[in-house]
Amino acid sequence: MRSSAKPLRGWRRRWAAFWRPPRELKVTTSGRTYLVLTLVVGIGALNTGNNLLYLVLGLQLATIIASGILSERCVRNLSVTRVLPDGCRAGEPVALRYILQTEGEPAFAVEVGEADSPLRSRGQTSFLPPRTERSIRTLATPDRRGPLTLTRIRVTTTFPLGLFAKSRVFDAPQTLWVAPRRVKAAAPTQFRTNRLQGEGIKAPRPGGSGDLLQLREIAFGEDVRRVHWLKSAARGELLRVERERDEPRYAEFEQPSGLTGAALDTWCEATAAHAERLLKQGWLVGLATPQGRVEAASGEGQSAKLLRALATAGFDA
Amino acid sequence: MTAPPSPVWRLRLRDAAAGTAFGSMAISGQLPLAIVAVFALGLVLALMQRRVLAHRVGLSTAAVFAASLVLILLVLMGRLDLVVSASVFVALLTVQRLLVASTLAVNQQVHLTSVLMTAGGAALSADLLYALFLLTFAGLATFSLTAGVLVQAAAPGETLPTRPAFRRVGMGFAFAVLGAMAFFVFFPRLSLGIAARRSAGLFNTATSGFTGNVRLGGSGTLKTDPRLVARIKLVPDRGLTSLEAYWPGRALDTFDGREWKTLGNDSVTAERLQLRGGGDTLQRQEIELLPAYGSPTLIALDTPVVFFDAIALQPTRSTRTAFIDVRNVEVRAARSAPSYQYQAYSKPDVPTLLRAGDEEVDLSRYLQLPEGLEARVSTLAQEIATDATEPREIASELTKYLKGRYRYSLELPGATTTDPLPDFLFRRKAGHCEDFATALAVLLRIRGVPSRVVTGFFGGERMGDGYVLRAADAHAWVQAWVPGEGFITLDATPEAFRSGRPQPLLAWVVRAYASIESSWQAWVVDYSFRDQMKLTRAAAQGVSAPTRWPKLSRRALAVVWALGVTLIALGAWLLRPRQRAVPEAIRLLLDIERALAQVGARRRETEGIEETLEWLRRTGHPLAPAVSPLVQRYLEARFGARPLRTGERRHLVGTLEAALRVFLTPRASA
Repeated sequence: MRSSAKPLRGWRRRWAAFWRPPRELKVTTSGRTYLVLTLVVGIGALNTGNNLLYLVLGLQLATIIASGILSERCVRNLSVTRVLPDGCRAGEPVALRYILQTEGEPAFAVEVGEADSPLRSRGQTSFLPPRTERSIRTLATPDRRGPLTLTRIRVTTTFPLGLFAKSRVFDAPQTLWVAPRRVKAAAPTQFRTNRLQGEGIKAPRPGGSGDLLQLREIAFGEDVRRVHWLKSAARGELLRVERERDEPRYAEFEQPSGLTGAALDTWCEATAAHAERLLKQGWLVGLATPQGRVEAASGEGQSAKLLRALATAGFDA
Repeated sequence: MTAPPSPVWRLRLRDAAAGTAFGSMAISGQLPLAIVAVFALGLVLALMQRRVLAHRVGLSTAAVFAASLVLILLVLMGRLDLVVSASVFVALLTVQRLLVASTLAVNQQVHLTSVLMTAGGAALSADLLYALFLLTFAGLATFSLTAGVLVQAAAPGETLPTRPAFRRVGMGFAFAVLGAMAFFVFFPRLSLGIAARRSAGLFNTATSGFTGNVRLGGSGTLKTDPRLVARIKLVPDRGLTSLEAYWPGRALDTFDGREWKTLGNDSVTAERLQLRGGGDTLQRQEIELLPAYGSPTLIALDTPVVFFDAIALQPTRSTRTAFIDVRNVEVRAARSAPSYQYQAYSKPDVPTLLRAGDEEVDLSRYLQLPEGLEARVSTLAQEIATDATEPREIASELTKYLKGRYRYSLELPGATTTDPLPDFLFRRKAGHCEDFATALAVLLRIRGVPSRVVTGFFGGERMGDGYVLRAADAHAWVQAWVPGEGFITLDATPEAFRSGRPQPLLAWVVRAYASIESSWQAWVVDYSFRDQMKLTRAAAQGVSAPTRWPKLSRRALAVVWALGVTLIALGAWLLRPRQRAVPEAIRLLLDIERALAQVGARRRETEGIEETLEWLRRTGHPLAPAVSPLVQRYLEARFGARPLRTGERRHLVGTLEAALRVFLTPRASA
């Protein structure tokens, strides 16, 4: 999933952009002190008429201008593309890639990250030779489930003197869907086990067939007819029978109606945890939300589909 | 805040920048020597990467602030100048920061205190060397700051792009220097240049030294010293390349056999000193005695008539001063200062002018002879020009005798004799100007002609629109009393050796330096609103009054226009908007997309090429096998750090086009 700034079309727009570049300028801490010093030297020069102070003042002011020109040359010919990951979870770091491309001029000390976004991502490189592109990987942690709208990318440089941070902001609208937070002890979620839909999925046969493979503690939602009552009574816990040719088990979660906000987030987190656990145990897991249905299936791909569906639950995807 | 580990060279750049900033203050010669020593030691340790205060930050900071309290006390007690004390404080703070561990904050503090030191240097010194230190500091600080920015942005282990970055910053630095010059020239001066200091500087220690006495013996090293001691502007300018004139300073009347002294005389203090009657042909002189001159004794062209408008140029301010006329000895400034500016009128080309009251002068002191003078000296005096009876005639003959029979030399082995005059006359028969002057004065006195030795300068070398005197031009000669005329000038030193004989190369260097310094003083230190007005007026006149510019013929004008147009065209070409260079991988992608568009295999604009390939594969499209390696290679080249080799794109596109032809051909036939 990529998003990049649209190139300007037409010489008029380029000309206008040249003279009115969308730049942001911030003064760094040392830059602030430098400006104060420049002011002090200026006042000293005006007050005393000492020509050498005028010379120092001139050098300081010209340095500020030169610094602005050099930083502008760094960011003027940059373009940036954002590459989003396939999926991510709330509360976990996600890798974002920014592909920086230079044209005729090199760029130095460039920092790239999201602008106007709660996602705090920050990557940097000291040098981009002319007519090259470089991929910068950054880590950021989304804090809540759902769509994360990324609208703009900010490219900043403090080159050449570190007194000012000049930024260029690129429009790059994209949406990152954030799956529910991973929770360790999620409350069990209700799911249906009485029907399967979809091609190639046969109805389960209770009990399975073949020789006894093992006995294990029964999980929530499993068919109680598989309980080995004698052994369970001996051990004091519910044990279920597993045979060599076990039947596929399935579960379909359905989003309860009327859930919104934090309650919906909590349900999504619990459902995600539960569904992943079942998938690990070989279950066929499906999901039904008002936004759509994910047919029951198993495997890693199904996990991604479920997480994506849970990310969009309650939102217009 | 902790900075990433900085390369050692970057810290050395920072430390060297701080050193040059301190140098801009130190050249004023106004900082206490102890502070100079402390800073030099700190700088050496810092350059050797010995951060000796790294574990004593609190203690050393407390020490610096304790020192600041002492400095404030000294200022309040009037023992230390405010600007000097502020400069000392900043220097101590900088050296403390240099010697603690390097962090981002410390690096920034060092640079900022260094800027303060250059401002302090501007307040303390008006020396040309200041410009050199300022430029060096600005360059080193710029590169050091840039290196800091690169270090901050670099990943661990990443090689810093110093060469391309420094090349770019170097251009920026040149632009900043030009911008500073433009600002300096055009920013209106709204106040007078009252705070410019004229320090003696470290390299302008006094040389000529009118110490009061002339002691014979020793070699004449002064005669080779190329340093400038005085600048003189003649009004009107005679237009000569060399004045070859006497500039008397002090007259000495008593000789004890080894040393010339002067007895106490009456003195008069006045703002304007009229020494003798003037005339119609007086020569006005605007004289500046430089710090290397080193004496309050004032000089003027022989024979001085009037002294007026004296200013004592002190380090912190310039003040008017009066003249003290010590009758028949010297004219000196009433206020002591490293240098002076004053004006004088002289009556040149006339060897003598009788002063009012000269007739009443007690001439016996000018006939005094040292006790125990060897008889052979008297015998020699009597043997020369035995027929001459008139003072002028005797003086002329004696001068001719000494000039013809004695050799000028600065190398005088065994010159530290107890009786230097007979040694010169009968043994060595070689000496410098003081030996010649002493011999002539004593011989004249033996022959009954009142005489005295005069010290001052001989020469006057053209420099710009004025003349300069060097330390090497220091000279001694004789004035003899002629009744009715007063003191006339006599010089037994051979003509070729009267003015200085500095080393030619050194003299050239000093001359070049002095010439630049003169421009520096005129166009930087003393630059004023009046100069700005002059510049503006000159520019305006340059447009309207072609007399200020060389008149150009039509052909020359055409060449100038052609040159101008060429330069503009060249500039436009250099600044033309460059075509966006498309990387090779992107070109490959565009080629693939173009090929797929021909067969309608490109479904949506926003679809990625991987998705298109996936669709081709899924639908069993005949082009899928041909497209697949190209897409794979594109992804590797663009995102996998495996750039396309030269010609590889063309080859890949060729295979795709071949597959496309095969695909299209049966369709066409069908």
